[in-house]
Amino acid sequence: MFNYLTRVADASGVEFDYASPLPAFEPERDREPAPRPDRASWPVIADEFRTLPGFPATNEAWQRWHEYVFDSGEPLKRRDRGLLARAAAQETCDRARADELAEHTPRDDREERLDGFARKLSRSPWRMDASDLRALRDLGYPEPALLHAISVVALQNAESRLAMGRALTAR
Amino acid sequence: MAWLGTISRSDAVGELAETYAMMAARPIPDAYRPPHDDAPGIIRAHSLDPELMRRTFAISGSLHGTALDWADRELISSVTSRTNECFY
Repeated sequence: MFNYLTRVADASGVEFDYASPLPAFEPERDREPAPRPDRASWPVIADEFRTLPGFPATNEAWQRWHEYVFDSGEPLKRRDRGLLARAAAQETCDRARADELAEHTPRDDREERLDGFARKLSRSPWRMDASDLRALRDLGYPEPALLHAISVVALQNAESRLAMGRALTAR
Repeated sequence: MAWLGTISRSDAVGELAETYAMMAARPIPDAYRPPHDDAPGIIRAHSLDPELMRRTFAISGSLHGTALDWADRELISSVTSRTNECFY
């Protein structure tokens, strides 16, 4: 869940607004992202690890969330959602999900920019700034579509990591 | 001010106002209540789509009922944020 929320926070530019006696955490914005392994060594995660059968209420709520974020036709087209999710899945080395979305390879400049947005938000979210949303706005995406673009990338990051974590702990 | 357009609780009407009210009525630790009168920024970030807001935070609501206690969940959330170099 927090792999979703952190990316929404980083891409939307919301401010930290909870009262806390602890010192505020200052992100190291110059940090280089961890290198990704070659595609040949990406794990293939079985579908059984993409759900939470041991937690029926959470599992049901998650599936409803997943369907809305990845399958809605508005305010962002399904092809655009697939493009964003594919890039996020590749950046998290989730081979099965990336292969599932293989047909969503960028075909023009607009799609390349969507792809780039998803990769930056997945790989180095601490470097997001106002210009990243502005670039999508300049392509004609209205504000609600920007929220959905962020949500697609954030949720794919969360789901890929959750699946990998479940597969690893099942070994 | 957020880079993404948002609608504050005081400006919300209709479905969004109802969703904000539902979110505010949830039992949550005091630490999750910001010192201002508006909804927390991470919730407000979803204000352009009340349906997305409800479906997203239905997950955090359901997680609060699992076996991990609040301190452990906070620890995991903090480590996730820190690993992602996130201020949030």
